[in-house]
Amino acid sequence: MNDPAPSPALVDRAAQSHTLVSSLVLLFAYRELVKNLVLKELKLKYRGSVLGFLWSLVNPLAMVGIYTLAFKYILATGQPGFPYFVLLGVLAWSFFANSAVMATGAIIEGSSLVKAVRFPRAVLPVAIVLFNLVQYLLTVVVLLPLMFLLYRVPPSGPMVLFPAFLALQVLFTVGLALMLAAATTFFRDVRHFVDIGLLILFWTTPIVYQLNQAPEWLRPALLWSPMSPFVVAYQSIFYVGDWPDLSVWTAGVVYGFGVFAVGTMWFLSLENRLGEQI
Amino acid sequence: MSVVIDAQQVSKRFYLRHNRSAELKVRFLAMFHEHHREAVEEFWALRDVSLTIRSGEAVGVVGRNGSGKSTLLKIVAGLHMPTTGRMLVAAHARIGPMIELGVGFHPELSGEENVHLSASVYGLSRAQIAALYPRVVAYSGLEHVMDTPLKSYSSGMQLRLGFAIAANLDPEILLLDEIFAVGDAEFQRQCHDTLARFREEGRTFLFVSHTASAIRSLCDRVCVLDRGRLLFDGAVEEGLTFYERLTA
Repeated sequence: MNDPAPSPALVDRAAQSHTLVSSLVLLFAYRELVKNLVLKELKLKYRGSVLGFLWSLVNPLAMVGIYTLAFKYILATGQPGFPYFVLLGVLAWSFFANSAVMATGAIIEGSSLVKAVRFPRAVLPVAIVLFNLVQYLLTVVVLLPLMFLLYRVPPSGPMVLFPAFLALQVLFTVGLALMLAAATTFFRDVRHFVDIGLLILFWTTPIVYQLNQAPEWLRPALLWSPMSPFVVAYQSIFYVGDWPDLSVWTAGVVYGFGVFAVGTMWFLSLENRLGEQI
Repeated sequence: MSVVIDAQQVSKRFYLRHNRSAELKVRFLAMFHEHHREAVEEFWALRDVSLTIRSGEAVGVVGRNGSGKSTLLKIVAGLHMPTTGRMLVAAHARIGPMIELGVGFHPELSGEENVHLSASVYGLSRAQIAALYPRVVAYSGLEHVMDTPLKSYSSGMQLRLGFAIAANLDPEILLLDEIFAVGDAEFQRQCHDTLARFREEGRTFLFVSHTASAIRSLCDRVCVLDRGRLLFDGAVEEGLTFYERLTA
């Protein structure tokens, strides 16, 4: 061998540390993979099924039907436009709950990829959340205008806030999905905790009731149930036609940015160990 | 030539967990019952391996099953991290892990969809995949079935498609794990011809194999691993003889 030429920069990947920003940049570089994973899930779900996309509408409508029966006719709450009100919460909730459940399997079910190629593992849970976001948006695009016609909802100013709160909900859901995906690779029990947790969260979120129907002393606690600020905001801008309260904004921003930052950092700290756990 | 892989006293410890369970129930029971308790046994897959590979070298790695060959490859690929020591790799080299073929393939998706998905796992952009696709199709010779689901392919066809992707990713450093062991004679010849071409082009190889003839035809250096330790690092014939004596 002749003299050692100046080496091309060598890196020690175990010593590389990722900041929140650098990992977002890396994630963006893998956007084609994210897109292809989302497309794969959509194709697998709808290919070879006769009703295809219609199935995505049946599930929320069935939930709306049964809650309307229970609350409007059995408990007789007398709230006008109850199915419309429930639908807003049910759709947003389904997006969140489906993402959380699927995220627990993100790394384990992606093990064939994780064991063979080095790529940012966060791609897997992020793709799951985006797949559910696409489904959510498709159902919203079909059902919301239908509800506007049915319940004669005039377009109002506050509706322009929908993308803002949806973005906060996506950040919150991604953060949580990252935590669940990593935690489940170390403890498979996390799946069972998620089932119970979702049941509790569903009833502590004002979906089938209005926040102001709850006793006054309980309202702040209910508003700080993690999914509440988003659901209450959607009800406020679409059903009530009013700008969301400052308290709703505060809770939404705290959960959106807070859970996203914590979830991402926590996932990154475990990322190198995930492949050895599965 | 410049150094592209530099292993500095790399050791890798795995835990063999007898009674392993990721379930909380079992961990709870273990607090009371001895026989539920997880017995953890340390296992050093690699111990103090130091190895420097320069650009353009073709290094064959031989050793018995469980000697740490695949672990070495996975640490170079960045899939595992060393427990102690450092593994340095060229920062911007395209590392082609041919540890598994057909990564990310799904039986329900078409051949074309699978190529796009699989290529994106390696971090390729949309434009790069668009440029890659025709070469993959031509190389695999599967043009007539690219629109049919992968599940209708024979296992040989799936293998060919997988290798076509890996070969056309244009890797500068190839990490190969015994991929000749599979496929029919024609597939093996295609693999061999492609690797020989890469060799002539001066690409770097780290090649795990049990097959002496494959090592002879591709490599200019041999490393012998045994129980995680690097026992020999040098010329091909000497290395193969050393390994023969070890296994005799």
